Formats: sequence, structure tokens, C-alpha cells
Amino acid sequence: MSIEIANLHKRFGQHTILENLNLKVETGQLVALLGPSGSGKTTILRIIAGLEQADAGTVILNGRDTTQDPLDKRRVGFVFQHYALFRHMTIFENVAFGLQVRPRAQRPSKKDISDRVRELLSLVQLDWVADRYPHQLSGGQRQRVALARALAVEPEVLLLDEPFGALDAKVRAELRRWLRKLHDDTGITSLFVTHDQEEALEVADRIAVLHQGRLEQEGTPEEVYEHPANPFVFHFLGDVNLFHGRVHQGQAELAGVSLPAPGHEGAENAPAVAFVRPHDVELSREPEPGALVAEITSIHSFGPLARVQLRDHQAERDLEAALPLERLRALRLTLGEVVFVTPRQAKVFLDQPTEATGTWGI
Amino acid sequence: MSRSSSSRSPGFGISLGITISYLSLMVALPLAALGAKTFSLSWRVFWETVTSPRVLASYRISFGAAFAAAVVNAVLGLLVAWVLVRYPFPGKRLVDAVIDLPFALPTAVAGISLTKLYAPEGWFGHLLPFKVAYTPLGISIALLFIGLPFVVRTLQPVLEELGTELEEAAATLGASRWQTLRRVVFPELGPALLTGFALAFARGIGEYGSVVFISGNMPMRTEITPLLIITKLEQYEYAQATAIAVVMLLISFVLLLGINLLQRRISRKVNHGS
Repeated sequence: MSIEIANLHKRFGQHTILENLNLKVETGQLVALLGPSGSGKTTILRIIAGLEQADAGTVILNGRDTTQDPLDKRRVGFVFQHYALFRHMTIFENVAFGLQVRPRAQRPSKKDISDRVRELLSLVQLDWVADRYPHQLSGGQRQRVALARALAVEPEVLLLDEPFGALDAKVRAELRRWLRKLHDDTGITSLFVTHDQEEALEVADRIAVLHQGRLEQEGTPEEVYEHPANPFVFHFLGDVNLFHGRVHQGQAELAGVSLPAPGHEGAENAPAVAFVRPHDVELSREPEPGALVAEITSIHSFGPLARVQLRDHQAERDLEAALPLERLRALRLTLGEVVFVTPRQAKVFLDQPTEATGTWGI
Repeated sequence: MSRSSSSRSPGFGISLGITISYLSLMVALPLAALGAKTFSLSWRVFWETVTSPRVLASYRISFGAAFAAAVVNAVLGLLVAWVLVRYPFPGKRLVDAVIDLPFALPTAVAGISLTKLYAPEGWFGHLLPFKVAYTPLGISIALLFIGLPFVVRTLQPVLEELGTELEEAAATLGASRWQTLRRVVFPELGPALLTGFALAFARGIGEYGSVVFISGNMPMRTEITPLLIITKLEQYEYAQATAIAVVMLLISFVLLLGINLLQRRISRKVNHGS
């Protein structure tokens, strides 16, 4: 079951929510809609589900135009950020709801409903809570129940709106791995909304990056991370060091640093902006050709990568480097020390209106 | 209360003390006086007073009309609250303010206006094929007016808090509009609806000012209990008046207690956590 949306437009009064949006989700894929708040990602999900109407454009589910279909004809499962479980029903009743409200002719027998609910609850590893009420479960458990409830009606597409947004960091990480596994087991075409790039990169087969109602880039996590289409995507998918400068015949001159700028061989002294990921920043005690000189302002050494903040007094800019803990220990860096900074590689974008994507401040 | 538990909620001792004293002074003491006055009657006279056909008829009318009005108010009040919370429309603020007017208006004024409207020769009255004023129906209409804000104001905040997400969830699961209302919305609203109903009902039982004008006060047919009590007072039969009042109070108390217990049973499921 594939999802295809074409030329979607949506406005609220003067405010444009979605502008000429096109997106295709292939059968069996798990796709993340990634973007900052207000980028229109939830609106897309709600339009696909039929909870909202687009001003223009079409939604095609499995080759069938469902733009005008009522909710129950779409066969779409929806998981809400705040679970939206029915508080006065037990977990069993919650999961059974979608089956029990079917017209009598299509409604499974009591026993079939019961079997199906038990099966789904064990799929989400919660078969032992069937007789409890939602308020007796933790947030993570509630969201798993919500997922089981959505799956009960055998949807052809699963839509998840910030499914882990209301959970704490540890449960989030657990649950997203679990969601990935569940998706691999069930194979149901899924689209989930998130503003957390780490979540999108870790879980999704493909990522669609949204910004101000427009699709900025769509591709595998590797593609969008390694080959961002524009400055916004680069910026949004992780921490960056930003350099302003010029590009001349494939070489970027960035206020004291000279780096190759592949893809811009034809550029003649064009203004450009270059992004360098912190883990592409090399620190050293030895002076190197083309290195910047900067003072260490802070060192955070938790996790597998240590983060070092630096201040380049000459160019008056802050830099960030990420390096493995062993490397940090070997260098024995200290606060206030002056070191040499070398960007190993940069992603260079020309400062041209054709390539820039309008405003993209974060 | 042990010291450790009182230290956990600061001010427990003093706030409980004030609560008890205040309730004793404002509620229990007048009620006790009512009981004490009643005890000046012999058991036989008491029983004769409260079971005389005219008094029994007044109980039926008072409780019956109040119950009917509260039921109708629960249904229509829910509708009004729903519209006020869910839909934007011009003049919404104004309508919202109007809801409270029955609280503020002197009840006698409401009673006289309603009588003017519904009397056989009144604006509405002469259009209707049946009599409204001077019948039990007229009493219920006065109580509808008085009770509506109780239901609306109880439901409004609950509806606002409920939001639309549960309904959307039900809709994505294939429930029809009616199934969503019946299986999701009404159960969530149950406790608040019951509270609103109980408040409107209680107010209706004791209502005097607006009813006496429209009811016509015919013994056995449209005479409400509060009026009967006033009548007894005017005849200097104080003990009989309090006797009727005590019985009315007892019935009300039992009914309200029942509603409260029922409400607690429902809300135990719904109102824990979210």
C-alpha cells in the first residue's frame, strides 16, 4: 500500500501551511516527516488521514484517489502524540473499539474480536494489562496500546504524529527501536512525524525534510545527512560550524581556511557559505598549513564523542569540534589553551537566490 | 490525625477546623434548629402533618417538576455547552454572558415574566393548544429557566478540557458520529453531566420565587412544598411548617447522596490521570 500526495496546498487565513507539496511513500516503507515546529508536517499527516481537508491537491492511497473519501473509507491507522486513549475503557476495550464499532454485517464475532485483541496486545508486549485502565499505565505503555488500537482495524497505512514526543529520553530511544522492529515484523507502510533528527535518522527508511510547508529534500538517512540538498537541511540535521567566504574555480576561501568545493568548479569568485560538521573539525597542538588558531572555551566529555567549544579571536567566531574520547585524552587539552583547528571537509553552498531556499534561520 | 500526616499537608489542622466551624454555623445549626422545632410536635401530629394528602401532593409536584426540569436541562444544557465550546459564531461572548442571567435575576421577576408569556392570554400562551401557566408544566418551565446555568457552567470547562483528539481517534478507528458520541464523548462527560443535573435538581426542589407566580398554587394540583411551608408559617403553625421542611430535606438529602455516590462510581474510571 503506497501513499502518494500531489500538489498539496493548505492555508489558514493569511498563513500558508503547505505549498505545492509532493511526496511518495512506497509500499512497506517507514518514512519520517522531519521538520521544525510549524513546518506543516502534522498537517500532511492529518490530510492523509482525512482529519483535515487540503485546499488543493490529491491524496492517492494505493493508486486510488482518496482525497474526497470519508475517514472510514481510507483504511488508515492514526497514532496521536498524547495517545488519545479512551479513559473510561479498559485496555482491552480500547483495542477492541475499532472492531466493535463496525456495522453488524462486518463485525467479527465476540471470540474473534477477543482473539485479535489478545494477539495485538502480545504483539506490543502488553498482554498482561488487558483489564487495566489507561491511567494505570506509563506513557510508553500507553503509546504501545494506542499503536495496538490503531492496528486492530487492519489499516493499510499507519500514520504516527510525534508518537514519542511526550515521553522521556530513555523511553523514547527504547520505543523507537521497538517501532522499527514492529515495522519490520508487520511490514505496514508507515509515515511518522518528528522534529527530532536523531529519531528520524535512526528509525526511518527514508526521510522527508520539511520547512515552512515545502519539501526541502527526500532521501535515505545517509543521503540527507551526507548530501544535504541545501543549507537548511544541513543545518537541521545536526550541529554545524558555519563559514562565510567565496568560491573560486572549485576552491573555497573562508576567512583563513582554504578548502576544496567540489561541484563548484565553474564558480568565479562567488559569495558562498560553507558548513563543517563538528566531527570533521581536527584539533592539533602542531601548527599546520591553513589551520585556524582558537582558544578552548569549554570541554564536554560525556558520551562516545567529546565536544570542544572554541573561540577564534581573530575572526571573532565560535567553533565546535567533536572528537573521540581517546583522542581527547591523548591530546590532553585544557581549558583556555590555544590550539590549531583544521576543517577536514566542508559542504559549500553558493550564496545565490537560486540555490538558497529563502529564510531558513534556526 | 497523627502529627506526621498533618505535616505532610501544611495547614491541615487549621483549615479543617475552619471548615468544620463554618459548616456548623452556616449549615448544621439552622438545620438543627429546624429539627429541634419539629420535635415540639408529638409523633402523631407530625405524622398527620407530613402525610396529609395536600402535603403529599405538594411533594409529588415539587420533586416531579424539579426532576423533569433537571432532565430536560441536562440534555439541552449539554447542547448549549457543546455549541459554546465547539463552534465559533458571531455574538458568542454575548450568548455566553446571557447564560448567567438566571443566577442574577430576582426569581420573582423571572416568575412574573414567564407567567405573562405563558398565561392563556399571554404572548405564547394564546398560541399554544394546551395550558402551560397554572399547570405542573408551567412549574417545570420556571425551573428550566432557573436550572439551565447550573448544567451549562458545570459542563463547559469539562468539554474544553476534553478537546477533540478522542473524537478524532474514534473517527480514525471507523466509528460513526453517533457511535463516537455515545461510546466516547458521553462517558467522558458523565460525571460532570450528573453534577450539573444534581445542582439543577436541588435548586429546583427548593425554588420558590419564580414558581409561585406561574403555578397558580392550586392545592393538590399545582401547589409546591415551599409554598405550603410559607402558608403554614403565615398561619403561625411553625412546628408543622418545619415538619414539612424536615421531610423535604430528608428526601432531598437521600436523593443527592445517591447521585453523589453514582457520580463517584463513574468518575473513578474516568478522572484518574489522563
